[in-house]
Amino acid sequence: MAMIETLIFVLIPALPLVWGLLALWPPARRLVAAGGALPAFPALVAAALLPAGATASSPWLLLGTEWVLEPGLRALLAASALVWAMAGLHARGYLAGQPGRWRFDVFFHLAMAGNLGLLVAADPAAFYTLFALMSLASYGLVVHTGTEAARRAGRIYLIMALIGEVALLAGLLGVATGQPAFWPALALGLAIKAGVIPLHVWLPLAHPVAPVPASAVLSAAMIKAGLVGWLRFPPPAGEAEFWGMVLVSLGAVGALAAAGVGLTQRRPKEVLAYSSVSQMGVMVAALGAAWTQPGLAVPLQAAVIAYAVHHALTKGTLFLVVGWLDRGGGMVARAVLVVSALVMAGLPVTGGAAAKALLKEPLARLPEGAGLAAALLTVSALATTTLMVRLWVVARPRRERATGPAPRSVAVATMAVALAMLVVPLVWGPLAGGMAASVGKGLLETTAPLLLAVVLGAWLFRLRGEAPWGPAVPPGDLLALSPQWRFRVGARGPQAGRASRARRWISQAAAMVSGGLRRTEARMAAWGGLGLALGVVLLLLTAVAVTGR
Amino acid sequence: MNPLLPALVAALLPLVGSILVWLVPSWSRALAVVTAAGVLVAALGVVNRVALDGAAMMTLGGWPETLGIGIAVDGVGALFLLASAVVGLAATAYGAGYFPARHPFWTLWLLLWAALNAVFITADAFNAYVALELAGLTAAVLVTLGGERDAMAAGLRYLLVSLVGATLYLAGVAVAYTATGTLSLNALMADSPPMMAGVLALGGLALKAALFPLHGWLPPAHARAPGPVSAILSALVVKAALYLAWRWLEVAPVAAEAFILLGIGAVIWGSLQALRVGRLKAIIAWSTVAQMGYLAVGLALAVEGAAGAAMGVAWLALTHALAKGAAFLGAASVVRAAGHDRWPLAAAHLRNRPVLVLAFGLAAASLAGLPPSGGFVAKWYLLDAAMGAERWLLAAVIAGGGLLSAAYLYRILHPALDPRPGAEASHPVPPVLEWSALGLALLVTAFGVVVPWARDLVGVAA
Amino acid sequence: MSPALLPPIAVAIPLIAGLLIFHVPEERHGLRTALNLGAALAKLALVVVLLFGVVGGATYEAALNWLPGRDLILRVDALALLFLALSSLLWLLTTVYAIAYLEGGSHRSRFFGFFSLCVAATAGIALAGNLLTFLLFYELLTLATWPLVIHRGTAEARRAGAVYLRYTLSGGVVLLAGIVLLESVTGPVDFAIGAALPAQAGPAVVIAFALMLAGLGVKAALVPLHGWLPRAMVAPAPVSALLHAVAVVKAGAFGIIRLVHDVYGPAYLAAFGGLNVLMGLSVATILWGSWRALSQDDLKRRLAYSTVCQVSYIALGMAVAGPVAVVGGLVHLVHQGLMKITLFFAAGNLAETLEVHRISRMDGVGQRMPLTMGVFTVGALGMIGVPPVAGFVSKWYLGAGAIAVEHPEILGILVLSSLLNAAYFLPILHRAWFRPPRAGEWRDHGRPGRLETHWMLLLPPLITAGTALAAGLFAGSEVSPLSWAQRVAEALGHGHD
Repeated sequence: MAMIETLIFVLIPALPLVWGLLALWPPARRLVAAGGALPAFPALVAAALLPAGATASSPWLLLGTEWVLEPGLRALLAASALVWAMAGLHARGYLAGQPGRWRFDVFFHLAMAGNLGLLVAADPAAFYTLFALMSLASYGLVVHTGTEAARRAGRIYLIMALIGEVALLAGLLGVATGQPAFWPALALGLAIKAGVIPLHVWLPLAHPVAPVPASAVLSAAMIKAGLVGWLRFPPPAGEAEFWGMVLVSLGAVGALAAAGVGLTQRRPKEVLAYSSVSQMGVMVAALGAAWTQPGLAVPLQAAVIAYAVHHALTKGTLFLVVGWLDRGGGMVARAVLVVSALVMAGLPVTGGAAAKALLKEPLARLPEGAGLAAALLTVSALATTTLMVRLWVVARPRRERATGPAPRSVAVATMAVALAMLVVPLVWGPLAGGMAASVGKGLLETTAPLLLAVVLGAWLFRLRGEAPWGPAVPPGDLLALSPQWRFRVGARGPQAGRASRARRWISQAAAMVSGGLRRTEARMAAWGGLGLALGVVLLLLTAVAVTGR
Repeated sequence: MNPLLPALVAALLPLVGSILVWLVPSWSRALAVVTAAGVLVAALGVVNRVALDGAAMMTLGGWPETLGIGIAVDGVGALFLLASAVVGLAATAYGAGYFPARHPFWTLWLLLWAALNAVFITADAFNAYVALELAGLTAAVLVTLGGERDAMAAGLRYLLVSLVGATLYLAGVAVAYTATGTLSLNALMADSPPMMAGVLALGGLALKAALFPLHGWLPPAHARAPGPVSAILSALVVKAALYLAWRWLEVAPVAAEAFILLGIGAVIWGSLQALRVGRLKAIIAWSTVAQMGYLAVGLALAVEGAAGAAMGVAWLALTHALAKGAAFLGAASVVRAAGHDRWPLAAAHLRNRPVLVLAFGLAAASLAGLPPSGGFVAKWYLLDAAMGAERWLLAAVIAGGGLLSAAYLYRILHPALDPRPGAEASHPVPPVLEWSALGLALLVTAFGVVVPWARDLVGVAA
Repeated sequence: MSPALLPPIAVAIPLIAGLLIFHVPEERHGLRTALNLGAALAKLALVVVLLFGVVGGATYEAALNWLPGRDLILRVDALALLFLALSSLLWLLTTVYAIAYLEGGSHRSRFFGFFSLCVAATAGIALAGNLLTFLLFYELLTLATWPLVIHRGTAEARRAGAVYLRYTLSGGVVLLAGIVLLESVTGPVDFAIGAALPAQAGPAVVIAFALMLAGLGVKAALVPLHGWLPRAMVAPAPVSALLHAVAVVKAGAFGIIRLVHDVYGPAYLAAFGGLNVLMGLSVATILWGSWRALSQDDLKRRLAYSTVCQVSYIALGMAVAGPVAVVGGLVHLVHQGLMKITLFFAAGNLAETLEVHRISRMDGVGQRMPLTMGVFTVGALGMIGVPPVAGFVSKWYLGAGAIAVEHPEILGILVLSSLLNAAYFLPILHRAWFRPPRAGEWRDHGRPGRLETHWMLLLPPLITAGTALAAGLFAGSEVSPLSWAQRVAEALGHGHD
């Protein structure tokens, strides 16, 4: 039995990895393109069939790999696997006929391997490996379209990802050797991935320029890796409270500020990206709160994971439906857009509301700051809703865009995730509990903020229409403040003047020395010189002999 | 059998040979080669005897030691004799391909050889003078055999310098004899003669060994001598003076420090000049000046009793003789091919001659002290001795000097490795010329790996 | 056959092969190839035998009396086997590569002759059982590799050869001086026993260490003694591969390992600050090498500076000491060899097939030569330290080791150097894969419709890249270089108590 468990665990990253590498071989490319959902299968199987808390080990792998299926993360694994699978299916239609499709397949599946694998990797080395795989493969997704904007976004993404990588390495080494001093590095690396302010600047650049299926998984699944890392490698005892406060502050600021900036964006994918930053801010803040209050850790962490599951499914749907609309989706697509936006906003009896309720409950039990937490949560809900209105505004399909019916795989994939988005909260324990809580609290209390935000949004629409609802902030906000810098590769120009002058000087000196040697030797060899030398030698011998005695 | 018999044979055979050659010139080359073979056998016999039975000494005619002509062989002497035999054989073979039969070279060379071997087996200070004088005279004439005006001038200078040196030496011997009443070197070591004796003798020997700053005569003489003569001069003739200097330093060890000073000067000056000069044989000749500096430093260390220094000096002398012989024989071949030895112009003639390039390469490796050549072993011993005696300056000179050697030797090798097509007008070089050079070079490399048998030899003191 | 003969045979096989190959006439390609490959395979087989033997606890030692009181000793221990196995495997692959690379070239018998001599010298260095033997083969390595550096015979090649000789001969002299100085205090130094050092490190011992470190540092390309390495890149790609991955640079690093562990012992060195000096030098080298690599447009020169940086990781592992860091340094000996040789093979393919020498002309080359750039990518990622390529494993252990001995700043250096590595490798990958090729940029010698280049130029890098990947991915298994390095580290620990 253990063998099968180990095999399943190993397959979770191995199958997508092999599948992705297969796309490098030209004859296999059509096969790979066609089998979009297949590589996520082991993950789904694991989430479904393996017992909670299952562990396995592969000592021969890397530095001795330990696998674990934490009970809380099962749902996240399933949700991520589903989103990946459907994004793959979506890509089949979305990228149909595009040249270089195989390149997308390679990077897509490599990133899938990394993402799904790190959810079950327990030891630092394997976690790092899969994290690195995910991050670096995503670069290929970001720059896939090859436009100037994509390349710029990719550059910034890569630089930040690399900094995150090395910080993560240092931090994980600290974990591996039991040295708590390096935990801040770990936190930094994970924070970059999770889009914690102010390290989030890559996210609004990278997520929009990637093709839609890639954006979906980037936002829905991959940024959760930061959370997973924090859950698996918590801060050292004694420092938890400090770091908790840090995360709470940064998360809260991010949740609100990102939503605000999102309102100023012109394109749906950018709005969605900022929404991701905002939502991650909420989750990060909740996690931080869990660290400050160990007594509330269990429910808070569970709530965070549930929130993550909800966000994965919902954001996944949102991105995929934007892609559907791009490819000519009609009424159904528009409906899905509206529904998922509402879910994200927190419509009662949906996952959004459930997740928020799940968070609200333990936060209300905070010994201090409970009120603040509740207020922040409410404001964030408001902001999110407004943001969703903005989304609807900029994502409305234009009448002019009649490109023909959307590919079937695109529609199917989007619908599948939408379905999950709606159904999972109803059937899955934690979210179902939250759902019950949300309903139980009274309809008005939950819908009031929603309606308020919708009204606000409508008013802003009236005011500004599609133009930015605020100052025109470019995506990547803070980056615009830094001077433009580019990394350049190239040899330093030869410093011709100095080198040749030095060489001339050297050869002149050599000539002088040579001439001097010749002349001196000539003089020494002459009879006079020889006689002189002879006298000197005899004197020397005498002197030495005398003093020696 | 008396162990000294082979020694006598080694000294007398060339003498006999030279007389025969004078009588029957048309058989010169064959006679010379036979003589050389005989000398080699005799030298090996000496080595064998000394290894088995230890040092030996005798006086000719049965006269008591202090009065008669003494012959002595010990480990060091045996090694020098061997060097003389090997290089002599190679030079003879070379000469056979270089000079015609009716040529003054043969008589002169065999006479020179007899004198050199006599130096290496003498136990008697005055004998040494006679042999040294003879060697100097014949060598000087050999230098002029080239026939060019420059060679004449160089040979004449060599002759005068040789006479001056020998006279100084004789003066020293005279002082010693007057004071101690004996001419035997052993006895002189025991009753230390007055200081002036040592000073004069060593001064004269330093001049004949071309020790800086008394080296001026050597480069022109060695560079302008005809082919194999340069090899003989650099490899053997200066060694004779060195050998005697070693003996006299044992007589008057207080002079050792002076040799250190002069030796360091020789290493530096010789290497610098070797980097400057523009002719192949001049480079090699200046290399001799530098290497004699090493030997002087090593001699001082040996005489002062540094452990292993004696082995180092003996080995260095042996390997230098072989390597320098190889280098000059190679250079002579270049001159034969090119008609001149202006460097790096003449290097074009080396390009299709891998045998010569290999010979130069191996010889250079030994002169620079790179393993696995014999030169490396010698350098190891000397370095070990210097460090053991805590003479750090000397250690630095020994170690660093190898690099200087490598630098000027690279001047020789670098143009030879240029793959551009060789010069068109290259005179043919008989194979025996190339192969005798290579033979010496291979031997010196082999001497890097057969050391153990030699160590016992050196320890055998007179 | 007496087992004691095995070590000399390991040296003799390539030596004899080399001497024979010199005399093979230029046109007899088949004979030459047969000799080359036969010898390489024979040596590899011997290494396998030795591996099994050592694992089973056997020892192999051969001693020859060379100088009075001084023996030449060839001995197989775990560390020797690490180096020997690496060099034997890579010799075989480089030979295959070189046969195809030099197709149509001149003086191939001379080349392969010296090639084999170089391998013989490397085997001697690996198996050397005492300082004298090590020195002997160290110098022989210089002499055997110089003709390879100047093989092309151009003025530039000979200038590079002159620089090479200047550095390495000087290094050899300094090493000789150091050895003699040390042995004048301690007597002959056998690696299995260690030097009989005085309790208090006197000036002679300290200076001897400095001299030996300097002498070894020339070949190991420690700053500031590294100047010869970038210049030596004018040599053909197989030579660069050999120099960097297999022989010269590794010999220097190997010597440093022996110096720290088998001659002095880390505790003794730490007492007089020798480890700190080594640490400082390796850190400086790591940073300087990485920095200089950034500004190179010539691909091989960039790889050369990368080697300067990477080999210092080995020295750093020794300097940090502590069991974990030592494992990291040791295993990097193998990993860096595999990755760097892959990179050089790929660079050679680019030069041979497309006449591409400069990074600025590599736009889109991944399309034209995907296999070559694929292995290059693997090697580059490994250099940066991206898992699961092997380089990550070495860096992990070095970092963990640094933390364990409370030198966390070393971790910072590793992090910084990884970033610098990324800075000069990733742009190459970006150019190759993510930019379209420019028309007329390359002089394409390949044939359309067939493999991107000769199969013998592709197979060796594929094998080495695959091995590098496997060495990282399966590092935890019993047969990985990592587990062998751990075994070596344990054995080293018992040498000096």
